[in-house]
Amino acid sequence: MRTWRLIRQSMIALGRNKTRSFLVMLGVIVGISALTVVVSMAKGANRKVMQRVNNFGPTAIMLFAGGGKNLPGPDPTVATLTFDDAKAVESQIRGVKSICPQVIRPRVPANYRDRSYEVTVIGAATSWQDAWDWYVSDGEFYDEQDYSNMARVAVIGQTVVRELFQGANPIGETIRIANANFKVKGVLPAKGTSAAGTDMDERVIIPLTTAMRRTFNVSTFTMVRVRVAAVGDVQRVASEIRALIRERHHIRPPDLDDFRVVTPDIIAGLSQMVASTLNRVLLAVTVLSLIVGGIVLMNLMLLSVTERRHEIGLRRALGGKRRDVLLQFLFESVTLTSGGGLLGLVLGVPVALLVGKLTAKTTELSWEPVALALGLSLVVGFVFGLLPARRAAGLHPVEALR
Amino acid sequence: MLEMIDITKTYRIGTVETPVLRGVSFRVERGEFVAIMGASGTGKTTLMNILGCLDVPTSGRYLLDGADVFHNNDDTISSIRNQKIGFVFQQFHLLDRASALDNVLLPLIYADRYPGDANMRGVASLQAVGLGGRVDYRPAQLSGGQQQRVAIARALVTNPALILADEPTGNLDRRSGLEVISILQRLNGEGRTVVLITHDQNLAEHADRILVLRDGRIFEDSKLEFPLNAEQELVALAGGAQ
Repeated sequence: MRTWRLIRQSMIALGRNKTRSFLVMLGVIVGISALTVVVSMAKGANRKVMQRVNNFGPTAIMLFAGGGKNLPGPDPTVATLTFDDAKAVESQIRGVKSICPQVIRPRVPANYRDRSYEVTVIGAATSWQDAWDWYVSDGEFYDEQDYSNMARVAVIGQTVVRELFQGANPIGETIRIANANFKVKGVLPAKGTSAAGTDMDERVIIPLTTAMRRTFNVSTFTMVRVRVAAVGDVQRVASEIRALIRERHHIRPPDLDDFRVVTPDIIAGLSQMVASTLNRVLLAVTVLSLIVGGIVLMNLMLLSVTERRHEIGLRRALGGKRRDVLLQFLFESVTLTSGGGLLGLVLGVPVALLVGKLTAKTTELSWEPVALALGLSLVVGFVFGLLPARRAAGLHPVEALR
Repeated sequence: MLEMIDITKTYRIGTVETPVLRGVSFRVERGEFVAIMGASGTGKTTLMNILGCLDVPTSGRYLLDGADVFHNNDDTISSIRNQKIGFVFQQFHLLDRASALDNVLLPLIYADRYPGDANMRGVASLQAVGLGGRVDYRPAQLSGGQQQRVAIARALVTNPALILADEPTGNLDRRSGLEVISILQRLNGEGRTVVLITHDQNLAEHADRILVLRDGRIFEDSKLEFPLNAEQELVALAGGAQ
């Protein structure tokens, strides 16, 4: 009852200056809504990183032909990664479970009847499914016989199914790739976005032999995918591969690698870097607006203390203790900021969803930003409300009543 | 009931000391209606602040209803104010956004225990000052006299030992002022101790004892055989108007 009356009186006091109360809340509203967006974006980005690492394969290492710094798109013009290189990796490095050499050609036109679509063609060994942990969901993968016969058979991804077949059953149908007919043997389940940010489902997998001798006429690989037995082996195996290939390609300092070794760590780091730059900016906005909100709160509460001197004196005269006055003003501050926090959430959640919709950024809503927002707004109200509340409580009743 | 023993108060600004009270001693018995008079600058306000336990004397003792007030910390003095003193201020000091009842209940919020029958007590207090029908009115919806009566109801709600009225009619017209004084007289008739602080001789003559303060000391302490009766004055005022 008593508490309820005090709360009601505080609300009355806040309601008296609606504009001012709103101004106080504004900073917190902006801060908290920004925070909600940041956290949900960070969570979304994090999940995306995890997904990319998973798509890449946590125990996978990719050895790409061609040097450079960035995450490579496969470069078909580089012809340095040889069959013997792959063989050496498989036989000389301890901890390599399997390897899968691949020839990759992006943006190859594929046709089915009158429909056409640009696909990424991958010529791969039969171990491809195990190498990628990615198994056909319909039909079957090409077998050893197809491989040794250099058969014109293909396994296609979901985007290809959608674009060329519009959902019709593609198994047994013939598609035209690089002016040759390929029979569709199997369909891969959807995988999503690759580590490099490309669509993994627009791929067409054909036997490596067919790709090298019949379709593209090349003798070198674009990429060798290596699987190691345990996650803990990845770094060691990766550096051993690098040393081995440098030696095999006769590269000595200061010459740069003519290949790239990509590990799950690099994938994770790359994705996080992109996410964290943006997040740092937004986080700065959040902190700044919370501080600004806090300072506005402090000043307006100080003003309020001056304006309500008589009320404070009266409360003291009627028996209110210093602590009672302190708590009342603190309560008002905290009410304002947590109100701002709630409004910030109400504003931030749809913005976070909208950002997720309008941009490629994934956002993920969860309880953490809600708890963080409310916790932070309570803290802001408490910290910046303390000085005005203490000033109110410290007023001498006689001075205050005068 | 209350006793002041050699109370002094000296204000110090820098090195300049200004004595305001120079040793004030007096007793007020239970059920008395005492007016403390003095021109401005005589220490009247300072004395009233000490009587109301709002300010601390430089020296001297103050016994109120058995408590040695200034031998306590601020929290306990606050509790003493809450339990033993009902204030009536010249400027009413009502919370303007709160109803009459909420204003009256304000002291109970700061009581050690919020009484379960608070609302009933608040309404009873308002009825005692003739505002039983104005429970939900805001101060702005009430006349000055009515506002001061709400303040009296607020002073009554804790059932205090002492009602301390500081120029309670200072902001009121004569008629409203007489109404307020008549309420104080009636409360006194019911056995309550009332101390009225004023500079107004006529107002002071409604009390049954007048203390005159001059130069920081009690200059005169006199009992009135026949105090003025505000009730009768109101009747006369109404008669004069007809």
